[in-house]
Amino acid sequence: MSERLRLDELDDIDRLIVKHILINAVKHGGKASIGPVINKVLGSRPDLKPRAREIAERIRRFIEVVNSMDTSSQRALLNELDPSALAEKDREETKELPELPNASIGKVVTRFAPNPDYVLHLGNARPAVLSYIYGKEIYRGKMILRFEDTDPRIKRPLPEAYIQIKEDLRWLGVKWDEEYIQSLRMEIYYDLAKKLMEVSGAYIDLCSQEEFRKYRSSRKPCPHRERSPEDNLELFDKMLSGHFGEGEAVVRVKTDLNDPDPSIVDWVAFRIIDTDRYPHPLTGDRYIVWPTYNFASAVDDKLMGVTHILRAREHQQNTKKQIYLYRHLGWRYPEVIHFGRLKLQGFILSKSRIKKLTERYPDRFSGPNDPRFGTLAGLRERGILAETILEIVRDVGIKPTDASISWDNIAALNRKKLDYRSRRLMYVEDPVKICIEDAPRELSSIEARYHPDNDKLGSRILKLIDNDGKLCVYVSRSDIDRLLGGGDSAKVRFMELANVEVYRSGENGAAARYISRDLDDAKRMRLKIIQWVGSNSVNAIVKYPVGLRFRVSRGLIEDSILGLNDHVYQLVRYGFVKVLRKTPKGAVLLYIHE
Amino acid sequence: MNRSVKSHPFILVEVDECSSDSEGGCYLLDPGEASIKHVDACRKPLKCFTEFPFEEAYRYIYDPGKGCSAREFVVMDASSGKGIYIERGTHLELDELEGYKVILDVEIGSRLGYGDRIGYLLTGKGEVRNIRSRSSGVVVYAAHMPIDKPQKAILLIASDKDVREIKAR
Repeated sequence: MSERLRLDELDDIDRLIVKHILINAVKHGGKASIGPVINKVLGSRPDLKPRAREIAERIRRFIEVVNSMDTSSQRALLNELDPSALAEKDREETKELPELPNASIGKVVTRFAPNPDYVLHLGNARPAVLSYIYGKEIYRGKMILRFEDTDPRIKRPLPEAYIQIKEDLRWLGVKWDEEYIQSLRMEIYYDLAKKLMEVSGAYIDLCSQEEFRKYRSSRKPCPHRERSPEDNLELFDKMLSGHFGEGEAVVRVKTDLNDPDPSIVDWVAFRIIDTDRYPHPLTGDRYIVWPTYNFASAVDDKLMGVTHILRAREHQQNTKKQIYLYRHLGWRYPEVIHFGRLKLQGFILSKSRIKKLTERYPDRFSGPNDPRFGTLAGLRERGILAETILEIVRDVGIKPTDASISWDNIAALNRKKLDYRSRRLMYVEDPVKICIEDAPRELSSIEARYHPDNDKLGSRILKLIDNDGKLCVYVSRSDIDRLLGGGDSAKVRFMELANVEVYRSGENGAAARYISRDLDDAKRMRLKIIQWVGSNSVNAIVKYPVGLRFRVSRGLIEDSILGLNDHVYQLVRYGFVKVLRKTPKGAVLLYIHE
Repeated sequence: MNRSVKSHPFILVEVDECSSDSEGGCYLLDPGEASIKHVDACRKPLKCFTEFPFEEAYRYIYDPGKGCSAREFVVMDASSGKGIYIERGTHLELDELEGYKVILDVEIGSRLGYGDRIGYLLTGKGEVRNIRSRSSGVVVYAAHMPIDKPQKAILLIASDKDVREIKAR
């Protein structure tokens, strides 16, 4: 394609424009956007600002050309234009994560501690992947997977989530050395609660929430705060055996009563949950006194030897709470790295919303792995590669700022990875049969490679339709409509086949006249290239996720799809698709992205 | 124990000496044969036992400071002639139920796991609470005091390995 852009014919401004378009395209999987390019061009040549409108117009023109090139041609052209720009980009791509504080090789222990109340989404992938990379890859230490499932009432664990989460992690390539389930460690928490009471670090509070709030807001201690350790232990035994109901007694960790954050003051470490009403999926009604997230998580980090906690910034308050607990027990708090949230724009990430939708419309959504949801399983179903998720997480790293990832960003990264490894097939939507007059007989069957740059993907035979001696093909109706527009005829290249002139024929019909076979002719005539299928084609349905719905496209696709075992293909001029199912008559495909 | 001793339990507690005047009678334990028999009198170093009022016995047989048995004792089932023998110093878990009304759901000889239901109680507010075991083992003593206000029940639970079965001769 670089022939279309002859660098020696460009003036200095155009060369600058093309350079920034190419940099932007290489960075975003082959598709440059106009906005950032304008900023870059005007940023490097402020003297052009008065001509901004003209510059924008030039950029628009070149963007179209650059975006129609494949990524390898874009890189080649950029290398020709400014090799240092490409080297800069490559350096950026291999950027390394910063070092962890007080970390040494072989001694770092990290953990990923999901709540199995639902499957993981992109946001959860960040702590999981970073804990793995730091714990195992960078510091060659240990990583722990811990299921934090001690709230059977509000965040009721889902039995299938314990399995699905592990599947999601394996898919991401995250490996862990040890695995724990908190609901199976309750006696350990009870023992530590007793120890905490023995050192007067905690007490049993029998006040109602309302009463406690009053004391707290007036910065006064709750009357139960100074009870003796022996009395607290006796009451704790009563809590454990079931003498108290929900809300009648809690264990509180003593903090500074003047802490500026009231929610930290004497925070709750244990509460009663009526497991007759809310049985835990693993332990049923065996336990009624449950540690809060902050107690169980803090205690386990110590007992499991965690040295570095990598978690989202929203946990900062929890860190403050847990430090009080560590002080009471004379423990040293691990290093904590708080990073920002990772949001996925345009996708549903909310567990409650996904749960509601899948429960209310089980016939419309396949479950948490539905490709319209932003869960990891959903993204996987959609055809997003684990490598893409890993790259996103590595890219955002441990920055404390929130990061918002758009679907376009994900698609651009994913496209870059899929492009070289995916076979390219032709698919025509709403097919129209076009017979080519004067087509040489040798065109009745041609061999074409599956990928222009990857010979390893092999080739296939494309057969034309023999219609009483005339060779015919199917093309998309929309292509013919666009080609002919208001006119009667237009020249076009049928990909891999021939250059033809298409003209109107009969009612709503079209036919074509053969011009030549040579691709160089097409380039010289600046012909648009369109895809087609011949006699060896089968039916195809492509499902496009649009918000919470699917738009369906029907057409014909090369029949070689039935014999191949690939999961993902690139449909020429359509985008990447994933095979959902195949039958002898055709295939149902899911649209991934452009 | 395969059989419970709920039907007619009585408790024999180790004493230094016992004579025909003793209200609770005298019993001699033969640990070798795992049997106990009624005798007119006995004294140390023989293993001499006498019957204690069942509902009060826990005060004598359990050392709450150490969490173990303060004396040797045997809980007998009159109808079957079988009993449970616990040595001095055996670790025992105490479970206490206290409420407006208390109903025990286990019997002597029942095997318990952590969290198993041991009874119910009705609170002063009229709410029902399931009371669960905080230990696992065998119930070796279960006394219900329905006359007390609030009502009370006391359970002593021993580890499986510390429970020996004996029979009356």
